[in-house]
Amino acid sequence: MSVQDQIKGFGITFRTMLQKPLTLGYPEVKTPVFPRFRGRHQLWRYDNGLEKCVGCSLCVAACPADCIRVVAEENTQEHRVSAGERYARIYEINMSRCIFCGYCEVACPFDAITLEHSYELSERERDLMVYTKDMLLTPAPKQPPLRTEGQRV
Amino acid sequence: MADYAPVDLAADNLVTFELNGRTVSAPAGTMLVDAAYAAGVEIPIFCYEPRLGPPIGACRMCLVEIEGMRGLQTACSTPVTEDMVVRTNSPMAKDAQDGVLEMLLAQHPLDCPVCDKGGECPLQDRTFKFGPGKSRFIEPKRHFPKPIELSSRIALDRERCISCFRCVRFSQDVAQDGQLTMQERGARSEITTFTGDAYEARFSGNITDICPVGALTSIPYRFVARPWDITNTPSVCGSCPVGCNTELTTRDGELKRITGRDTPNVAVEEGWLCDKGRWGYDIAMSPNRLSAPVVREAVGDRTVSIEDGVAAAASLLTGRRVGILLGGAVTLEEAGIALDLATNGTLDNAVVARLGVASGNCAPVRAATGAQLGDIDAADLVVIVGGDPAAQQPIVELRVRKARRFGARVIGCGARPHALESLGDFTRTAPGHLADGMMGLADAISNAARPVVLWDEADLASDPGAIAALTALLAASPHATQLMLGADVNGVGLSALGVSTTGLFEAIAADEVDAVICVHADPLEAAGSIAWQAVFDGFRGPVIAIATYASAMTERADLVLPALTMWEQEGTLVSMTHRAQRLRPGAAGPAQAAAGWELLIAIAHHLGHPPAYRTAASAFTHTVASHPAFFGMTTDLIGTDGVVIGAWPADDVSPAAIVADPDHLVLVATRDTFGDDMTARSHALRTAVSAPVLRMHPATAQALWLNEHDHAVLISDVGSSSALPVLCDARVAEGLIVGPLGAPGSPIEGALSRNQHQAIVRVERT
Amino acid sequence: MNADQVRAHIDPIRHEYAEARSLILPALKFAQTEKGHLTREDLEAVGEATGFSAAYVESVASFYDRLYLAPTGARVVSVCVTLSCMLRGADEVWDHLCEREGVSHHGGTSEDGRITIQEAQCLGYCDRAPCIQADAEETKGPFTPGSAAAFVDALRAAPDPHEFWR
Repeated sequence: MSVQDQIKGFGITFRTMLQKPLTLGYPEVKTPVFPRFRGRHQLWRYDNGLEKCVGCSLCVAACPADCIRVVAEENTQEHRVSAGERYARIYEINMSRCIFCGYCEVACPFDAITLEHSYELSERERDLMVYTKDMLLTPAPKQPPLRTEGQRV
Repeated sequence: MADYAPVDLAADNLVTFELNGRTVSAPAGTMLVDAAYAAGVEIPIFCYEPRLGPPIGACRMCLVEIEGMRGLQTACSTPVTEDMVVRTNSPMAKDAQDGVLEMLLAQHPLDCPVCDKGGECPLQDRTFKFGPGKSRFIEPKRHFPKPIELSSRIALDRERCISCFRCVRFSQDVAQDGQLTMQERGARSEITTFTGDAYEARFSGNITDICPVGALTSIPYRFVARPWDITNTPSVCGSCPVGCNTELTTRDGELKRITGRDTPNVAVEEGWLCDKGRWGYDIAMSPNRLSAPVVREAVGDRTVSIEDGVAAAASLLTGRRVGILLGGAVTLEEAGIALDLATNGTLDNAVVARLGVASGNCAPVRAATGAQLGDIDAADLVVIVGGDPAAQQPIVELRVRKARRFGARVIGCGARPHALESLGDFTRTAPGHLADGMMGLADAISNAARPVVLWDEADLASDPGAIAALTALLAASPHATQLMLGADVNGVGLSALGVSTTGLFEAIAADEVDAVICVHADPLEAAGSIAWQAVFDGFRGPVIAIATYASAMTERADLVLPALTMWEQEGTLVSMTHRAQRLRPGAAGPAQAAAGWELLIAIAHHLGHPPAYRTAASAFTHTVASHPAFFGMTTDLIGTDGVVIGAWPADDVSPAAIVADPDHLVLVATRDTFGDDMTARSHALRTAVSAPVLRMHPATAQALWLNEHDHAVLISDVGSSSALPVLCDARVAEGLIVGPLGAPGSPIEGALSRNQHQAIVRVERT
Repeated sequence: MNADQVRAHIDPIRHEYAEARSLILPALKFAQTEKGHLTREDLEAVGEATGFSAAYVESVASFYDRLYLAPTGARVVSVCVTLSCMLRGADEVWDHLCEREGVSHHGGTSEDGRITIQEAQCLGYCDRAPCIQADAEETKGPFTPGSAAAFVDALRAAPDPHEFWR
């Protein structure tokens, strides 16, 4: 190994030392994802709080990994969950099987499910990888307070 | 469902015509849709359904171009003729298809994601395949309040109806209950019943199968599953001896639905099911379903695991003389294993017997040429001797009505009135005097070209004179075929295996048996229950009950082993027309329950005599090898459609002759489709239940000082019935009392003797 | 009306009809003469007399505009809504009359029980569209919403017809 080779090698080292590091301090700093990145699913609601999902199971039919399970039930006058006649009583996605292909999003006739940008999907047990409807659903919107009699706008 | 009728391309009256430029042939008179389908060209249809009778051309979907005919023709109502030139894909035909679909969808809501039919919907499929892809209608569609209940089991969504008239034709022509009609006209047309009453009929569920859209759906199946969530298993219904071919829909290991098959078995039920066979499955989830073995000890009941239960059974049986009692719906496999254990040394010389009607004396009638239910269609004369097929073998009713529609004459005789009597001439005979009624039938039978004689097993077995008369009738008319209206679900199969109805009762009474195994059998709720109760009261040995539902016997038994139902287990049943058909499991059943055959094999293992078979299929092979009626039969041969079994040596057990005379009243037990214990426990059928009553002629009631709705008790030589209300019916023969067999709490079984459905009784008012 | 009365009416005319079901219509027309509409009992009686199920008889009755399954008012006003009349403003006439009589958009009987308004298909008066027919007898036109209201008022004030023409 000649001196010339050593200078060449250290040259790279010193040049790199002066550059800005590529590594991010992951948990605190996160890599931004592309706008069309497909991450964790989310089930959506209409503005009035009713769920968009009607439990039609088309996502189940479309899913190539067979990781979605939907059990539907009928809406009643007292217990109205979705806008249609039926709603998904159970909506589960097995995240350990999901391949994030986005077919469920394409299949959905009501735009009720979309793949969002969250990608931190690890659990300590396999069973916990089955995400239930409670976990996937957007929280219900807060009802705007109704104006009471005599209140000034 | 099967939309197109099968076409016999080997017929000798073939005509040749041109279809889309190809030369094809079909028998003359075949409708163009069927001929085209047989030639591989699908002409879309909605209203056409060959089983509903002649086509009506209501939906206009099948328009095709036929050269030489003005305009377009409906292919469903145009028979093929020689040298016809048909185009189904010409621009004009395609335009018509587009137009019809566009018009149908103009009022049809696009709520497929919500609709139960979505995914298995002919309208969806054909719109996809033949539709224009785009609609020009922007106007609002008609709206009705969302589904109304046509009955407690059928939901009607009027928006989705395309007015194809299939359900109306089923109700008016096939079931002939006359209830469903199309009211109003034009865009306001809707399916409804008379003044909006509930559609309560015995075959109402079939309209959910034939509806080509989601207008008529089953309420128990409402929003339960989508077609891609489920698996369908072809199986057989074991609720009555007809043996209808069914399809079990399973989701997540649970039975969710029963429908007719996509390709109906024309020889049996032609795709129609009765409401009990369709919706009665929810009793498998009823509270009195047995889900874990129970050991009954002095200190109390103990629930154990199925393994411990089987071990306990084996220890109860060790060193004892065993009797095995089989119920009427026990499969061939279970019976075969029981017989095998009795003869191969496992249970030393066990006595094997069955519950049910003894009909060994009917062998001469049975020896005549047998017919399948499908043969009734082609008959020109249907003779019904005794029985009540409409109540006891429901699907027979549809077959006879179909034959009647095709012009057959329906005649018969019998002591009981039934729904089919309105179709023709029937003679009322006194019980035990069926032969008198048959004298008037002889001429009609010998003059008919293709007569079919339906005879009731239970009625004839108690009437030796009628057996002789019918045998003579059939011998005199060799062209006539006979079809038994059976009494027990697998009665034919069990007697073909040589299982007798007698032997065990006597053995228990004579103290020749130390332990009894009841397989799907409850002698304390079956015919002769009081006599059985008496022998079991004196019986000190252990009783093991292999059963699915809690009953009197499972309360008395020392060990209860929960078994699987007919929807959960494998097995073979032989229908009343001698057709061996296979049950296939469509649900998992409780974790601590097992199939009857499995339990018997496990007990044999515990007794130290492992049998040579481990599965239901190998038990079947083993069983058929040793019984002449089943020689050469394999599970492959039975397939999905079943196969007719051979002859077997007649059982020599015959019940006593029951003859009415002025001094004696006769009780005739009838198992009403919706009056039995199964219907009473089903939630879906709750509105269909018919209450148990004693039907008798008003004169009979008067002679007994009974008024309608009075309660009466029947007392016979062997026991007595519970008190039941009296219903006067002038159509019942005098001197006859029609009682409900198998009703909840088995009220009349006590008055019957063990292997007979008739008894001489006296009546006491309570 | 009972089945015997219906039978007495249709038996003499039975031979005039090739098909048994064709008798349902004259039987229904006759049954309606009693009350002016058909009750559940009337339908059952016609069914029994003609040999068809009551449901089938009801489906026939529901098809025809002049067979009433509910009580009507003393005068029945039929507003034509078919093409020619519609193009000439039948919708406005219809809406105006419905609103004025206080009945729903599908027609009905006014609160005082005098007037029943129903939609009719083409009455053959296209040259004088939009037209209105009163009691299936006299047809008039053309109407504006205002003149139609006046026509209905005149009907309301007029004495009731003596016999049930229906």
